[in-house]
Amino acid sequence: MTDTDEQHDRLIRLLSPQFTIPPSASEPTGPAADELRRLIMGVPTVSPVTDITKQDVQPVNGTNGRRRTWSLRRRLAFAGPALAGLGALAFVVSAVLPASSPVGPTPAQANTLQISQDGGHLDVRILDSVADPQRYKAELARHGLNIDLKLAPATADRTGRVIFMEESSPGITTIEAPGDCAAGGNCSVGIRVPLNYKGQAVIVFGRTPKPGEAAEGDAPVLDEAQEAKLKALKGKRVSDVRQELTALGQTATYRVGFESRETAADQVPGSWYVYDTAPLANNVVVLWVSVDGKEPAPGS
Amino acid sequence: MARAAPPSRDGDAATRFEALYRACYGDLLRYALRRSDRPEMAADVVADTFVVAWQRIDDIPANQERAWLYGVARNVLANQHRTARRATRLASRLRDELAHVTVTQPEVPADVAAAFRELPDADQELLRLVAWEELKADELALALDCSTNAVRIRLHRARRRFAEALRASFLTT
Repeated sequence: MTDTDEQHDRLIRLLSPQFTIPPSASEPTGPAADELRRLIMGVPTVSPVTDITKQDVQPVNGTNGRRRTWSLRRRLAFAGPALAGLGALAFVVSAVLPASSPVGPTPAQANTLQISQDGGHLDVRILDSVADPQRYKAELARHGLNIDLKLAPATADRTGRVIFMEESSPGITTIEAPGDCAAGGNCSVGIRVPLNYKGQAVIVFGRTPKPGEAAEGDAPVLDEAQEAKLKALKGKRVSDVRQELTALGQTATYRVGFESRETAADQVPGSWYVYDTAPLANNVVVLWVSVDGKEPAPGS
Repeated sequence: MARAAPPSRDGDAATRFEALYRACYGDLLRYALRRSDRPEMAADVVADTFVVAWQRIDDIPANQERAWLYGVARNVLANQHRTARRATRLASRLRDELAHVTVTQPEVPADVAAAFRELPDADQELLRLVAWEELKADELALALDCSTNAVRIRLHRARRRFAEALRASFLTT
């Protein structure tokens, strides 16, 4: 490194903003930081059908610590969630295979699904985007993974790409193909799953629309104000949210229960509460709703 | 439903993760804060990155943990920017705390900031990783998932472009 480089580095260092961080978050032993560590260390023995609650999470006490089980549900909506065309986006709880299940590069049927093993991961890509998705799930189950693969009609540039991902615990990442991105910036051509992934997930790939079938549009990119508006719907009564959405020219699609079942509007009483939201194309908003406004527990 | 975790995770992995967390938390938090539009968004980056670290604790190269974490955080940030996603409940307390972070914007000559902003995003990030996170070439290679040789070439070019941008900026002001 030359003196000039060092001078330039000093200049760049000056460009960094400075932060004054509250003590509880600034040090790893601060209460907020330490709580995060303890919560994270509960992850490996995750039970895919148990929701996280704070009281369920116990500190790990070194080698003798026995971890309580919990899971974290989260949803990731990629450039185009394409929920509306999917029917129920339900978690399918399939039997978890024994730990000794063979994990390896089982050849995919009819070359529809390419599964390759790379170190501690499986890379999954769709090769034939008009094939039967049930075969994909079976293929993954053979690898001991509880991952439901679905296909949704998509425009040509999104065919074969990951357009929606929902996972019960973090770990699955997308395989990016920079330089081969859709107009919306979606370059995800597959998923990478750790072999020891124990959560459940729903992954939706874009497929070629059948004759006469419309492709799903992209989910809108929201600005901060729109995001805030959507976020503000959480915790409100369904009847109030319906009015607000109507005033904005938007319509709702509902998800109910732990399995996020798509449910018709007339089956959702106005007295229920919204606990989560997501935007879809064509001014449609997904509302996750429950009787009491809490995220549902397993079995509900 | 859950399968038993590998035996090593109860002992060595937990010890290693705790040490890793204590050693790298502060650096990772600052990395995330510097790259987040709002301080509270950094909580999810930190949480998601450490979740991956815990799940892949056996894959993390010794003595390069920090660079490895930056590499994961980089992908987490990319996903965060690309996706409309729910905030993780895991980080709710940290998020609340980070909402109280005070940010002081740097006071640097406008032409320096302008010259830096003119660079391609990849150059900016590479130079930030060097100047802000003080990563060396081998650590950059790990964080950016490319060879050390490629990093050196990219860094050389980024430095050259920054020098040119600075010169141009000075000439025009």
